[in-house]
Amino acid sequence: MRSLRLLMPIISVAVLTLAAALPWGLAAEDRFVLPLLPVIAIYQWTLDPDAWLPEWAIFIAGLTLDVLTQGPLGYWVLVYLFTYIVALFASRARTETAAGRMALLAAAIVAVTGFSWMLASLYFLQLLDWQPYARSTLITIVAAIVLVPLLGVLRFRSRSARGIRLTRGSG
Amino acid sequence: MTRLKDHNLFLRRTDGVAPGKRMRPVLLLLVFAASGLLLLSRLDHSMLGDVRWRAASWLTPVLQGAMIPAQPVREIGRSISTQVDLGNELERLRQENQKLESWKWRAQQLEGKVADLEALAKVVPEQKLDFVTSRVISDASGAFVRSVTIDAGRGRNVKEGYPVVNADGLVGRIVDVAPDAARVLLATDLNSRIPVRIGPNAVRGILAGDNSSRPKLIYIPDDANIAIGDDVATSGTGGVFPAGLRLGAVAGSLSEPRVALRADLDRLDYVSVLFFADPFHDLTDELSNRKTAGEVNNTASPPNASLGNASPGKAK
Repeated sequence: MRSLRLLMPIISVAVLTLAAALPWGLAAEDRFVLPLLPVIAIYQWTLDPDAWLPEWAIFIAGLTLDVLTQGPLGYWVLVYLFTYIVALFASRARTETAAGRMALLAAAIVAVTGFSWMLASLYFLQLLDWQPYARSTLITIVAAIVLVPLLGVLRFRSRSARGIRLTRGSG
Repeated sequence: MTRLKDHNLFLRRTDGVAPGKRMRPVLLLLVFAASGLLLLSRLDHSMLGDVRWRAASWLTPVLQGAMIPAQPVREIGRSISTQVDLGNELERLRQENQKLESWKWRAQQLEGKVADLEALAKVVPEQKLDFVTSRVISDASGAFVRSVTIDAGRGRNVKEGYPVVNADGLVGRIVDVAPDAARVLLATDLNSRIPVRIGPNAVRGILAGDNSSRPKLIYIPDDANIAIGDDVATSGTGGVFPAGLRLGAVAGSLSEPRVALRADLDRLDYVSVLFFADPFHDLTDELSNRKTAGEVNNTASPPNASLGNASPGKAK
């Protein structure tokens, strides 16, 4: 049970990565939203200092998606690692309200989608149509409103009970 | 003595205790490795393609397992979209049914005529195609590729190059085969090229995918007489696809014609793989086999004996 709690971040990212490759009956132009769902999970778990989501797990998740989608190897790996870097920077920002945290997440999704569009354009050496990416960004932000509370529940359940420590402020 | 302030005495579980995550050197290493893989993919390294398909086929049981809980969700989504379109769909079907009733009678008349003419001309009967129906277990449609993975492979006699159809028409062809899975390159993929005939004048052309939902028609003769709405079917040229498989209808503009495919490639559930072997491939194989056998016979047997083996009846 304890190991399950520890592995919860990795399991949730793995489940969302697998789900991204399943045939959901979405139009090909709108399927881009599916690989962006693990982005939300990676971002949220990276923000949590207690969660164990190592870089290599993110690498494997991206590589698995590259293999399953038959796309160029390394594409989703780079996108997911970029998400991790964005989340590391976002964790330094002080946001007290839920709205502020959601705004930060929305900004991260925009940054990651922009990066993925740029990377795909670089791969093909031509500017790709940005509209499917923009549409997917909006859908992902809406999906985040549902997914973030679910991840929050997982986070709450996976957090092991620790000894409470009293700390004295310096000033 | 330091005074203990109330607002600085917190019962904290995480805030301030955990130092937070920092960027580690391993991250740089992984970014470097991913960039290397992307560069190798761009250079189309053959080793990568092989390894990728092998890895994907290993993941087939995982995807098959994942489909079990995903199927009900998919069904709910499908029933919702069906309910939304129900009114329009009924009207469309009613009109189509009226047209089909008149076509049915005409088709029966023509079928009789064709059968009579074929009997008179002693036409060789058409090849009966065997097939296997399989479930789509993964959809790889994205910015880079349009393909799906099905749960039938070499174990079910599926081979590379076999055409794949569903009830609405041609879907694509098999490009990779594993023991229990195969990858179908959809007609919309950037690398898909299908020889077609267009309209009642049977104008020849190529249906070229460009990763959009409506592939384009290329290599059409300048003076070709085609119109929007003309039916598009496989021509059989090149022997990759059998002739007469339905694809869709001409759409868009005549200056840059495209094809609105009949099959909804975004909602593939079950597809059938036609066991259609390329006849030209067999022919070249037969020729090369005969050539090799002839060379062997020439060295091992007298020349007249080898000539005797080359029966004219075997030549295709």
